[in-house]
Amino acid sequence: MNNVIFKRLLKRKSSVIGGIIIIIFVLVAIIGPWLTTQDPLAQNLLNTYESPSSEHWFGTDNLGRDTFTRVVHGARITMTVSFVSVLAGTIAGMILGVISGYYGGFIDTVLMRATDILLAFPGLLLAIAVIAVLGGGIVNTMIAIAFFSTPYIARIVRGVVLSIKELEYVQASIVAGCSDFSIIINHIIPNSMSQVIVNTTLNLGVAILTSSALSFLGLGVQPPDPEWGAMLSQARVVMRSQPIAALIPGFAITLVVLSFSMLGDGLRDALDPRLKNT
Amino acid sequence: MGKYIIARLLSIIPVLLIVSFLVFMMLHLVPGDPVRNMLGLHAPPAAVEEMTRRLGLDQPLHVQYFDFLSNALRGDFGTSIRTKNPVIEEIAARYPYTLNLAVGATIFATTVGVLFGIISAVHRNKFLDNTLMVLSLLSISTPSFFLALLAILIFSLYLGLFPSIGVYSPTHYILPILTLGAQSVGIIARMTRSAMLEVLNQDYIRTAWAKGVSERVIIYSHALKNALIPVLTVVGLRFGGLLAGSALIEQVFGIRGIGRLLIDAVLTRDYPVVQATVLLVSLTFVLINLVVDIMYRVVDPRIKY
Repeated sequence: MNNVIFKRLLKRKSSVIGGIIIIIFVLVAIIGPWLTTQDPLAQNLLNTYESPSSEHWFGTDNLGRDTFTRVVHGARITMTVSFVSVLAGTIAGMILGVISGYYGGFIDTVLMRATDILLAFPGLLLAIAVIAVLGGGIVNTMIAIAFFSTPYIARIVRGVVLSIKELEYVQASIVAGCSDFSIIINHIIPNSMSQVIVNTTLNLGVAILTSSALSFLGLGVQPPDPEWGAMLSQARVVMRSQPIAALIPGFAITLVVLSFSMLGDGLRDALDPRLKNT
Repeated sequence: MGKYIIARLLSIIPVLLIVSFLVFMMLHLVPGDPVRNMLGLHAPPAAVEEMTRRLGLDQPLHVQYFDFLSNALRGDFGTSIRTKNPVIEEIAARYPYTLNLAVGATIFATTVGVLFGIISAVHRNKFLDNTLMVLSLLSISTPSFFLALLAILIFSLYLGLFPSIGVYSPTHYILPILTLGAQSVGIIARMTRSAMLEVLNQDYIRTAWAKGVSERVIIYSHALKNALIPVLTVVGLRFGGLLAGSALIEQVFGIRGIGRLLIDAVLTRDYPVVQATVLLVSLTFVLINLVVDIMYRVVDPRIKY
């Protein structure tokens, strides 16, 4: 079955390209520090706003730091923030969605009204509100993004669980005396994973957009850490004389988000071909 | 219809009460003493005491919430810690700019997005469809603040076509509105295409084709009306995103809107302003979605309440 899905995914060129680009960025995030020879935080005030050269491929920034090195190191921060926050949001959302859908009744009503309330805030506003309470920084950015992605996953998983729990094999497990925990682990979660995987992939792109937006506003990852949104914010004051300083991190964000969207679309079509072209 | 509107209006009251409670609790969830956070660790005890009293923090929690709510209903959100002005005045001076941006971007995104979606659906799997869908995906993936910087670089700095700072005339709004709405164009285009494709496969559309009804009538009169419900939902949800997202565009274009007010307030720990802004933006978002709900009935008379 997994082979069939994988073959369907491979048939879609855009998804393959998206997947390859993501793998490259993940590799850059992992081995990035060994790819560059310079320190991303090392300042050289005699060398500020230098144009691209053999020594500084993408030039230098306002403090004379090498832009290429900072973009490469920024991949690690951006990827870490998005993967950790989305993973945390997905796990929390799955737990809430499974409990809500499987047990129903009062718990379901309470949990779903809670998600309604959280969804009453626009996503970025909710993230800003969380930052207003907790303060900026990498960890708090992750918490903020996880916080606003949880209700979406919870709603999706609940919907899937509601339909799965009525299926005959689940009913048979209940009659056979299997425990709730066993049914949830062995039947409910594996069968809701396709929806979760698709939404998690798409959420990774949203998480990157949100974390870079928060850093751009000065609320997320704090200087001097090389985060792409923060780099873009610093570079905008020299947009005319040194556009490359803003263009490189900007294109990096766009490329990664685009890749996650292409992969997510492909996964959705591969896992549920009925949705293809709709 | 009238009954439904009243029922829906009543149904948002509990939502708004809980939202207001969460916003009220923001001040209490801040690690440490909120007054010390605002005034600094070395603030004189008299100033700390005065601020504690002014914010009502010396009262029991339920009294504080009741005061917060009753004051909020009267438009009294206290005074800004930073500017010492009444918060409502700060907001009233800035909200129109943000609303102009969000409404303008919604109109732009809906018009262009629906048009792109229709064209894509009609030319399904052809060159035009593929091109528009690639553009849509690209617009969804490009951060609005990066697009805004690119627009300034190209249209203001290089070509000199549009101003890049402030909102002193309608022309000043063009780049901010286009860059704010671009992401939503892609989202609405994809949703419209998907909804249109579903409708275009229905029997009654096939019948209309067989009867020889003109393409224009089939697409705009028969199909689009029935495809509009999911599109309306997305437009309503996007409006909230645009209200919050305008903070980024306001930052880039130097517009003194409510988004920038919120960011400045968060950075300076001006909690009364943060609370009021978050509450008002959420209130607007909830009300817009209420309007969208009501519009379902207008678009699709089959929907009964």
